[in-house]
Amino acid sequence: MHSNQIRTDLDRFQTMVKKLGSDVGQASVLWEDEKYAELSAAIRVIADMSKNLIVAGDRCCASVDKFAQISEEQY
Amino acid sequence: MASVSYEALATVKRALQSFQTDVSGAGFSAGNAAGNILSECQSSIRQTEDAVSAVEDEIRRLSWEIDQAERQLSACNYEWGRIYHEELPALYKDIQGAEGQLYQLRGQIRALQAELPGLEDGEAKNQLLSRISALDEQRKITEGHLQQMEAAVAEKERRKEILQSQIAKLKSNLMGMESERATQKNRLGKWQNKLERQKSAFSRVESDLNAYVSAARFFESSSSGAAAASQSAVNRCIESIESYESVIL
Repeated sequence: MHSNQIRTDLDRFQTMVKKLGSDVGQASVLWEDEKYAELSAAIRVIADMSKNLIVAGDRCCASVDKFAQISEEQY
Repeated sequence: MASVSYEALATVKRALQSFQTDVSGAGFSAGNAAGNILSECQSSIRQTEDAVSAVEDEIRRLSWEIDQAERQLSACNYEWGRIYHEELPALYKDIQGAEGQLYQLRGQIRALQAELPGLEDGEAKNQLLSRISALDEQRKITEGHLQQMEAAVAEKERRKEILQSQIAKLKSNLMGMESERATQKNRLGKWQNKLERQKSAFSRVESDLNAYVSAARFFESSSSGAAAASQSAVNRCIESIESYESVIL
């Protein structure tokens, strides 16, 4: 028993949020008004939501790993 | 004043579309992972419960065998004690009595035989011979009885040795089984402790998985909604630019 599937998903979620931020960031050179700032703020909200998910996922992985550690004990 | 290019808007639109595609199914994936993990955890707990049951069965088996061995030991001890304290002393006493009786009989026979030469043939001699014959018959019976008792003593001594050997073996087996049962009881305690800790850890896993799945579903719907809203706004900007560019001056 492992938390690999969750870790894989968490990596994927982080990658997609980073990619969104990076792609939108690339447009900043060609978009210099206050609307970009609004868009950028919306992206930051998404990034913050992803952090909550990552924290919940990490906590989950830790408890799953703890369970797995106990399960491996043999007598 | 607006300062944006069509390329910038197109780039952002692609990024938002791509994100929406990627984030779609985040909640389902998390739920799927949670289901798999819960299933594995429950399977692991069942394995531990099986291990606990197996050790409990082993302890019950050992306890039954110990009980049987103790009963056998008690029976052997009782039989050995009866032979040693009652049967053999009684036999030795009877043998001693028979030997004494034989000694007397032989003495009486010798005495009567000594009288024979002084008697002439007649009634008195016949009576003496008859008495000697009766005493000799009694001697033979007593000797036969003595032989039987000596054989019985030999048999009892042999049985006593067998019992001693059985008692030693049973005691040794008992010690081994009691030691094994103590080991198994120790193992049982460890398995039971593991099971308790597993169940406690499982509760935590369940709680954390529920929180994670909820967070994933919330993230999927909220971020997808935010991305969709931004994409809609970007689309309107693009349409405005396209409308602006379509005007012929």
